[in-house]
Amino acid sequence: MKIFAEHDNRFEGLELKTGLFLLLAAFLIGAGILAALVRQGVFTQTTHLHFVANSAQGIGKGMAVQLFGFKIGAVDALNLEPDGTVRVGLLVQTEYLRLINQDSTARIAKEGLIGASLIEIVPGPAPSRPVAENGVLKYERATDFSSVAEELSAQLRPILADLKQFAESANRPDGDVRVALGNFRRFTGEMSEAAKRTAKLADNADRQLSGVLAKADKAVGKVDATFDKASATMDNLGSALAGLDRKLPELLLKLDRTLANVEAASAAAAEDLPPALRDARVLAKEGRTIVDGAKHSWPINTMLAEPREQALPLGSFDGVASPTP
Amino acid sequence: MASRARPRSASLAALGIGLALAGCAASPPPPSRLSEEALGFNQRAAQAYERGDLAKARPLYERALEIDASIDSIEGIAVNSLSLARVDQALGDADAAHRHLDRVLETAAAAGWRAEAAARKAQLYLAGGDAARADEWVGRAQTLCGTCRAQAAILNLGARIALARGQPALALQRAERALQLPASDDARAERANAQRILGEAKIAQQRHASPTIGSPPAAVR
Repeated sequence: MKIFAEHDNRFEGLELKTGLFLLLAAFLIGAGILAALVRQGVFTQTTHLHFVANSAQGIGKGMAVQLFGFKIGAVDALNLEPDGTVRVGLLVQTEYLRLINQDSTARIAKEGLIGASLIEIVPGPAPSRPVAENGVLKYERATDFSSVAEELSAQLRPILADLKQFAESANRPDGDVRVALGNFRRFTGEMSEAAKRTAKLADNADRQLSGVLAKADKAVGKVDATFDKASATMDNLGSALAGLDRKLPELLLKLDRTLANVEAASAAAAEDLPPALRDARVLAKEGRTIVDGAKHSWPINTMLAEPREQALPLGSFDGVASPTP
Repeated sequence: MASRARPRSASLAALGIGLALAGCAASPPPPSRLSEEALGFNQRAAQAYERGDLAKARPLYERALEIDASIDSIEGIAVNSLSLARVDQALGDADAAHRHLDRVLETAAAAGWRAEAAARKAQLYLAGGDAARADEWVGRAQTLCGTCRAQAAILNLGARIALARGQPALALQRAERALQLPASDDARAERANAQRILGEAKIAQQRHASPTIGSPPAAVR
């Protein structure tokens, strides 16, 4: 080695360099192994849970266990029990155990429509204590794509059968579809004719409406003229009312004075009238007495006929019709 | 003397004339309150009759008759009985009409009122188809009437009865007598009735002379 070092100085301290290289490599390998172990959860505290399923179909060892979409563990054991059920062991991180209560349910789900299968833990709605170590979860098999497809297929099958029958009917010349189409074609033809007639009618109505509108315009013009006249009349009335308004207080004052005079005259008449009436009554009575006396006195009594009772006059045709010999 | 006696006789004459005038100036006895009441009922009954309200006129005449009977007013009894007979005649109650007329005829009422009563009885008999008794009663009416106010009506009634008995000549004679009476406003209606009866009597005479006159032809019958 010295020989090489004498001829090339790059070989100086070769042993030291090689030792450092090997030590670094060993460190990197160890770090990688450690990282792999950490990643494998070797250093994470885990807890065992399990549930009982009817079948192990779709469930595999190492299948991820998720809670609220986060991976918290994996399936670590699948055992067929003597009663024919399957015991599925789950290994979940202990730190998430507080989120899994005793009413939680484990079910098989898929990441997306056609993604990998996984075990999803759904906590129960009612608040309860967290599940204990080696606790048992309820299990339900979620609807997967295949079962959905089967249900869909079962529902679509009669529809497809009907469509097939409809297509066969449509292909037959005497089928209901062909007949209905023929009727619809005739109906559309008639509708076309009706639309033409309607358009013609609308044209006529439009012309008549134009005439009516022209007359209405004239009428509105007359109404405007009438309103103008009415406005002028109202103006005159307004001016008359204004004049009346000016004269009214004076008239009211005059009326008030007149009423006062009438009231005074009435008061005076109320005092004077009853005696006057009494006097007039006495005067009339005395006048009648005087007249009666004069009527029975000579020579007036010879000029006046004494009222006497009268018999109904006799008529030759009283009571009977003219005789017919 | 003669000059003193003239004024004395003139004074006596003036006294006599004054006494006579005083006697003339004396008021006649005023009508009693009952007479005035009867007069009022009679006038109201006449007004009801003129309106054609016979149902109202009848009790009013009856009330006037009761009052006149209570005061023995012969004229009032006759007047209201005659009027009641006319109302009953118009109402178709001939028996009641006869009773009222008999009452008039039984009283000592003026001949003119009794003549009208007899004439109304003749009308009632004529309306009842008894022309012979009607003729008898119209004869009594003519006798009682003389120149009473119903003279023309009684003559015309007699003419109608003569026509009814088939005596157109007698009817003509009586109707012409009615026409010859002095014209007055009261007799105007009876003058018209007389003309009508004359026409009917002449037609009847011609029919008697020629039976085909006034009758439709045999072919039409």
